[in-house]
Parts: sequence; structure tokens; C-alpha cells
Amino acid sequence: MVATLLAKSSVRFYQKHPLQLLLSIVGIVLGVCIVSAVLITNSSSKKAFALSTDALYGRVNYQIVAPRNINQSDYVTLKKQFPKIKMAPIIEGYVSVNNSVYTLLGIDPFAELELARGGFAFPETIDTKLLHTMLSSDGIVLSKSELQKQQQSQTTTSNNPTYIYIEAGEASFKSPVLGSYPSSNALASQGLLIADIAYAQDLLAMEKHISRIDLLLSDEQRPAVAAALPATLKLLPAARAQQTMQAMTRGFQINLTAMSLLSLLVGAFLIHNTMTFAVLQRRELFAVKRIVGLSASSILLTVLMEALIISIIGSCIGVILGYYLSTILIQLTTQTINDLYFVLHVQQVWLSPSTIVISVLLGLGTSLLAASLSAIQAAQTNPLQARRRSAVELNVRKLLPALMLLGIVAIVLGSGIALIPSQSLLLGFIALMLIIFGYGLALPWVCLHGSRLLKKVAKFIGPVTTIATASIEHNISRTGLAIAALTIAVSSTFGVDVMIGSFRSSVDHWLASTLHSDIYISSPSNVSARADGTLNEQAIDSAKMLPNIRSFSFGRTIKVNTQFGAIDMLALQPHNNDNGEFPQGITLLNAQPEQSWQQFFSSKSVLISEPLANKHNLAVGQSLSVFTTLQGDMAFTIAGIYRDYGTSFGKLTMYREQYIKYFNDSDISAIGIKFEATEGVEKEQIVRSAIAALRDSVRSNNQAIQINANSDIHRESLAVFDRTFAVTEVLRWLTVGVAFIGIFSALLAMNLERTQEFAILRASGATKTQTFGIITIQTFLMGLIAGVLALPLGWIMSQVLIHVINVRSFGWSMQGFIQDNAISSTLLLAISSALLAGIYPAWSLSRRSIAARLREE
Amino acid sequence: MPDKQVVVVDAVKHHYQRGLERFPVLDGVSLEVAPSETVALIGRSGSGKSTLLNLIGGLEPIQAGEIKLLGQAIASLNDSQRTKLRRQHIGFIYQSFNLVPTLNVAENISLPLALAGVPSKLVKAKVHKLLELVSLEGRASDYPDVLSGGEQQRVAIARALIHEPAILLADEPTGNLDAQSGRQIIALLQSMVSQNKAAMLLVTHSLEVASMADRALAIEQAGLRNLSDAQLQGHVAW
Repeated sequence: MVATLLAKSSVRFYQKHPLQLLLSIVGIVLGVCIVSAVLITNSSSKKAFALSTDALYGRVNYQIVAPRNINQSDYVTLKKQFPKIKMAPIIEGYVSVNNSVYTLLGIDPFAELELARGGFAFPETIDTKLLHTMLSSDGIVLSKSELQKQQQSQTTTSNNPTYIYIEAGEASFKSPVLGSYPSSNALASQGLLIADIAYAQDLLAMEKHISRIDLLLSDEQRPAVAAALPATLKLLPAARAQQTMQAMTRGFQINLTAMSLLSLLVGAFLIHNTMTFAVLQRRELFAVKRIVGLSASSILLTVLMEALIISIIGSCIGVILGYYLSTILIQLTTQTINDLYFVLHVQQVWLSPSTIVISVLLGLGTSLLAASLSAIQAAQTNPLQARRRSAVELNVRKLLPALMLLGIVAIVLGSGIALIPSQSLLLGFIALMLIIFGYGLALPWVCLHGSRLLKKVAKFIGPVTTIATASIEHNISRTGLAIAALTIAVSSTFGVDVMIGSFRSSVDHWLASTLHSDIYISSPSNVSARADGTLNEQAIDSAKMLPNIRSFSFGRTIKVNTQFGAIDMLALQPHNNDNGEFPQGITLLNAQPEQSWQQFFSSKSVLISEPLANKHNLAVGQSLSVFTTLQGDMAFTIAGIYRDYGTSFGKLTMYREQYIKYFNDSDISAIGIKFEATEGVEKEQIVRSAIAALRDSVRSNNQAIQINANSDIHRESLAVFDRTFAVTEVLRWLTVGVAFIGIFSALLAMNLERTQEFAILRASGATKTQTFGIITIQTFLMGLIAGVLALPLGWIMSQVLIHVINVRSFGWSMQGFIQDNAISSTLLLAISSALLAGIYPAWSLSRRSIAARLREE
Repeated sequence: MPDKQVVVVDAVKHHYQRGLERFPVLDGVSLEVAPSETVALIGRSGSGKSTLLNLIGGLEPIQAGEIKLLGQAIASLNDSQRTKLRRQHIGFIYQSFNLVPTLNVAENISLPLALAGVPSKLVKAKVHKLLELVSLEGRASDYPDVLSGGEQQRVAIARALIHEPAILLADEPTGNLDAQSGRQIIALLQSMVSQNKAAMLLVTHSLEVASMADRALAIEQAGLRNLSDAQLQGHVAW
């Protein structure tokens, strides 16, 4: 009975205050929407990755790899030696179809039938007739769903495209489609083309070579196979390759999750704000209920039940909207994964029950936690003091010093954790969150004293400013929270801005110092992150014949196996420097770079990138085991550590002469050319003419090679950088959106509660402009306070992001600096958000009749 | 000589609309208030007393009839002119004091002059004088919610009179006070009004308060009726 009455009372309150109900729900919706969108995006990427690896590996538990490719004869020898062991040769490479990157898988149908790996895309699902066709004819096979996709993109009206156009490295192929296989899971076979091994060798120019050998080995069989392998081949667990790939994106995904949790934190301020207002508005009602005999716990439960119902509605809507937001985020994150890490096809959003449950629970938990303070406040309503707003404010003010102290403790604790020398990203984020949370707790106290200071100044300005500043101080329970929410949101944009700006500038400088040649010639790569093709002799000759060449540099990019897994390696022949200086283009970070260069050129050594050194705590003088073609595992001394923003997974550079010596590979992936100016002709013109001449030459020879000016690569690299942070941009603007709603609802609530106060002012002779001015100045000052307070927090955040999170996520170090317009744009953002949020309450108040407002007493 | 009157209310009609239904509260009401005159308005709750006060103060639009304040027809003024009129010539006092909670006692009192842009030195001197008159010298920096009801109403009176208005519109100024505080407030009001030579229109439920006015009027059935002393004695208090 009592419960029904209390429920009716709550329902009627919200029926009378629909905007308030809406704002409460919006706060939860936005917070949950962002978190669930990121969770869905991350889980969809992981799911797509798991499905694609399952499609490729199935039950295979080991694989044999070589530094480069495996000679086909090695497989034949092995198979003869171990006829009972199930194994299959595999060719795996990337090709381009209709400007999309596809994984081309070359298989031996008979070996696969014997291996029966159970992968989605293997011959278990391909019928025997088609298998025979694959053996007898050149062409590719794809899944039914991929075939449909190709049919849709074909201009032909035919339902069965006879050919698809494949670009592989320098060559283009018109490849017959032999047929399709029914894929039980369309997601698993996305972006996958299957061909017989011989045809795949033709497409990828891997004559008599294979990428790896997949095996199903028992524990007893493993030592015998490992022992039988020559030094140039290595037996590795298949899971290791998958773990390596997943580890690459872990940092990126944790960063996204952290950004989304920040939105939820800002959302929590909003929820607390609206719930507090709902309680404050009813303080007299609660007092009456207490007088008629309701217990404090009943009131506590009533408010918590309200919060629960509101948060259930908000969380459910949030998850639905999060699903739609994730369809946008997934495109941005997949682009980043493909740009920076590996080829991943994520075309479908994967909404798992666990993601829904986690999102809803996060929404409910945050809402209940945020509302619990308001509920306790409601339960503690003193019937005698209920009418006195000052009593409520007094209680809040009493709490502020304690919150301030708690905030300082959290900041100190967070700073301490950030300074712990660790590689743990989680600890880094805990440190960051503690600092943000601590700062948020301390903010209302700072706001109270800040507004008092402003009030003293305002007295010299005029009554409108005095009333505006006084109202901030007087309503600190609400203004403090609104300012805190805006401060955190704006500080996150400032912090992330400083981090991205510092990062971009570092990358810009790095590109300027690394791209030392005037033009670069490379074999086309289908994947931005990989440039491991091979330039043919004709292309190299064409380049060597260009006029005005001063010097060449040669690079060979391959993936090598080390004790830390597969890592990109550049075999470098730098430009000859006539003046005897050490090569430019690589910035060594260690002391005594001269010694490093001498060691690099003269001994069995490598230079390693900063991320590789940071990730594995490697230092100059230590050794790194590299799996070489000719001598198997060999220890190379680390001669130096260089700056490299190209890959976060680490990279090593070996002198090309050493590389040829140990890898027996004199191929070239890219050439860098420096030109020299001649009399009367500027270098820029020489470069442009050289590019034009080279393009003419390759076109006439029907070659497909990439020729780029230094500036083109610089520009494209920065474009990739900007794409990488596109998702961060989206998330931080959403966070600002949540904070905007927060300050809007706080101002609306506060000003609606002050309806009568404004009516008195009007009755006392204040013009409409003056009352509008009070709200505008008040919101301006709130925005100004939030903006000013956001700067130190933003700076601290940027330092943690740059020196802790970035180093632990990606291994990159950089100098943090505040960009020219960062401070002014942060202040502008805070003030404009606040002013914008104040427009409606000011307009709404100025529209209502003074007498009506006075009657509302 | 109607022009010499501070307030002239002529055949004013007013109604409230609730849905399709109209509720008339004033039906052809006429009234004149002379300078230095105190007029008491009594009537049941909802009879239209406060509405009449709000119409005279320019806080509510006039639906029919005419109200002149110091010879100026209120209906002919726009919002900013009405605001200026209030700022210069009208003082308001309410039952629930209606002090601005974010301003202290001195700031509340100074509000009408501060809003009018009067130099702060002048305002300070006036506030100081008024604080003495209402016996709140030591409470200048206190906020409204630490004052008693009587003290709050004294602040409201000081605020209503700081700009020396021609008329004081007092809406049940003793409604929230005990009898003794109520008497003190009315005495204070009368003394200050007479010092300022201002007129006062006083809405009250109290016959005792009404009897202290120069004349008393009752609002009944949307019309005004003069009450003699004898009628006042026999009247039932609302």
C-alpha cells in the first residue's frame, strides 16, 4: 500500500516535470551509448579476428616457418620423412580486388583433405568436383556470400561472374572464378580468396615457394619434427601467431575503452546532478512524508527505485543507440587496424549478450552510485529545515573540504601509480582515472572559493554581475557539479588535443628527418602497414638511369622471427655521404650514436626501434635472436635504438650487407634517390621531371611500381595518422556532448527553481535584459571557471597520456607541448558550451509572466 | 481632481482562463488612492486582491478598463517603460518576503537603486540609513535565511522604500508573522510611508490591520465595497 502510494507520488512528480525526466534519461543514454558502442566495436573486431583465424587455422596447432618463404622442396622432404603426420603447405598473401584488400590462400586440396583442419574455408566445405576443378584449372574459389558481393559490384548482368580482377604486387590478373563453397559462417570467409597452391604461386610470384606448413602434431610427434628441421626452418605453435596479432591491437582497444569510460564518468556527474535536483525540488514533500510517519529507509528506497527505473530505460536505449554508433566506430577502427596492424575484415557489428549485459550493468551501476548520494540526502531530510534551501547548501558546503581532501588523496595516489616503473597499461589507466576522479572531487571546493573571489570583484562591476556570481556560490551543490562535469569533459578534449598535437608534431618532425631521399620507388603494397614486395631489375635499372642523381639508398623489408615473435625488419643500404657523416634518416636515441653507427656497419648487429626496446626492455649492447635463412637463429648485438613512429609493434634495421650475408637475399623492396641541383634548374623541378620520366618508363614497360616524392609520402603518412585518431575525435566530442547536457540540465534546474527570485528582480525594477544578463553572465562565469580549471587537469592528462599511456601502449616517447591555440580554443569551448546551455533557461524565464511566477510561491 | 491621485483604477475587469472555462475575479472595479493615503483591501482567498495589486504594479496585463499611476496609463506602456515605472515609483512587499536568497541584507535592500544604476556611494548611505530605521544595523551582511520572519519582512520594507516610491503595494505583509510581529511591521510601515509621503495599498486578511488603514475596502463577488469602521468591527475576519 505504502509502496504503491510512494510509486504514484514519484510517477506524478515526473509527469509534472517531463523535461527533468528526459534529461535524467539522456544522461544515462549518452554514457551507456558510448561505452556500449566501444565495447561492441572492440568485440566485433575480436570476433572477426577470431573467425578469420579459425577459418585459416582450424585445428592446426603448429606451423613451420622460415625467415622468408619456404622452399617447396623442404615440404616434400618433410612429408616423405613423416608420412603419417598430417601437414599441409600454405601460401598466404594479400591481393587487391576492386580496391579492397583480400587474403589469398593457396592450398593443396589433397593435403587439406588429409589434414581435415576443420577451418570454415577449407575443403571440408568445398565439394570434390570443385576441388578437382581447382587442381586442373587456374582460378579462384570464394564463399557464396563473397560471390554474391562480387556479383553486386560487377556491372555485368550475369549472375555468375566468370572473372574477377586481382592486383597482386606489380601485376594484374583476370582470374577465372571456378566456383563457390557454402560457408556456414559468412563472417569467417569475408575477404578470403582460395586457389590451388600452384595458381597462388603464380599470382603472388612465389614460384616453388610456400609461406608456411601447417601441422596437426601430438606432443610425442613434436620433438621428432623439430629435430628433423634444418636450421633455416622453425617449428612454432600456431597460437603464437594469433596471440602476436591480438597483442598488437590490445593497446589501441584499451585506449578506446578508456575514452568511453571517461564519457560514462562525465555522464555520472550528469545523472547525479539531475537526481540531486529531483530530490531538492521535493525536499518539502519528503519532509511531509517523514512527518506523516515514513521511515528514512523508505524514502531512500523510493529515490533509488526511481534511479533504477530511469537507468533501466536509459541503459536499454543507450545500448540500442550504441549499436548504431558502433557501425560508425567500426569503420574508423577497422581502417586504423588495417593502416597500422594487419588486414582485418569487420563488416558486421557483433552484438553479443555479454556486451549488452556489461553495458546495461555499467549504466545501472553508475546511475545507482550517482543517485545514491541524492537518495541519502533525501532520506536525511529534516522536516524542520526542509524549507530552508540554505540548510541543504550548508550540508553540501560542510562536505566540500572532506571531498577536497579525498580528491587530493586520489590525485596523489594516481600520480604515485603513474610513476611506478611498469609496462601495465591497466595501471596507467587506473592512475589517469584516479587523477581525473580526484580532481573532480576537489572541483566544487575550488569553485566555491573561486566564485567568492569573483563575487568580490563583481561588486565593483554592478548588481547584475553580483547577483550572477552570488548565485554560483549560493547554489554550489548544483553549480559545482555542473562545473565539475564540464571541466572534466573540456579537460579531456584539451588533454587529448595536447597529446595528439604533440604526437602529430613529433611524427611530422620524424617524417621530415626520416624521409631523406627526394623520391622513393617501391613495389606496390596492398596493405599500408606492409611494403615487403620486391622491385624487379627493370624498375631498378630505370631508376638508375635517371639524370642528376646524387646518391641511392636501398631497402629490403621482410618479417623476421625473433625471440619476441615475428617483427618487421628493414635491411638498409643508406645513402653514401661524401662528407663522411653518418647516415641521416635514422634518429638514434641512445648516447654515443657514432659508436652505434660504426658497430652497425662493421659487425653482426642491428638497430632496434624505440617501441621494440620499450616493450621488451631491451638496451644497447644486449643481443637479439633473429632467425636467418642461412644459419637459423643467430644473436645480433643491439647497436642502437632509434625513433620510429611507423609501427608500435617494433621494428629492427640491419645493414644490407649483413642481411645479404645471413639471409641470402639481395632483392630490393624500395629505392630512395637523392638528386642534386644543376645550374639554372631548381631541385624541385628536377625531382618532378624525374618522377614524370620514371612513370613514363614504367608505363611503357607495363610495370606496376609506386613512385612517390618525399612530400607525397610525408602527406600520406600524416593522413594515416589523422585517420588513426578519427575515432578518438568522435569519442571526445561525444564526451563534450554529455557534459553539455549536464550543464544544460543543471542551469535549467537551477534557473527554474529561481523562477520566483527572477520575478522579484523584475518586480524590483530589473529589465528583461538585466535578468537575461544575470543568467548569461552566470553561465559565462561557470564556463570560464570550468575552462580555466580544465587547463591544469588537461595538461596533467596529456602528460600521463604522453609519458605513461602512450609509452606503455605503443612504446613511443615524445615531447609534450601545448599548441598555439589549444588554450584559447579550450576556454572558448567551455564558455560557448555553457552559454549555449544557458540560452534556453534564460529564454524560458523571460517569456513567463512576472505575476504568474510570483504566484508560484 | 483625478490627476492628483497616485493610483486611479477605472472599470477594470479581469478573469482567469482554465481550459474553456473563464473565472472572473474583477468585474468593473474602480478605485482611487491619494498621496499619503493608506488603503486596506480585504477579501477571501482567491477574491482578486493580489491580482488587483499586480495589475496596478504592471506585473499583469490589463484585460479591460484602465489603470493610471501618477497620471500614466499603464496599458499604454511597453515592458521596459513599465519596468522603469516600477523602478522609480512602486515598492512591493509580499507575504513570503521574497528576498533574493543569493544576496545579503544590504544587497537586497540596495537592489532597486543598484538596478537603476544609482552610484554605489549614494546607495550605501541610503542602505545604512534604512538599516537603522528598520533596526537591522548589525545584520547587513547576513543572508535572508538566517533571519527571522519579522526581520526578513523588515528587510523587504527597507527594500520597497529605498527608492522613495510614490506607492507601496503590500500583499499580506503580516500573513506569515505572529500577531505581535505583525503589529510591529504595520507600525513600521505606516511610519515609513508617512515619512516618505507615499501612498500604500495594503492587502490583508486581518481586520485589525485593516482598521489601522485610512480606509478599508472589501473585494466581494469581483467588485469593491467601502467598509466603514462599524462595518469593519462587524465583519468576519477571513
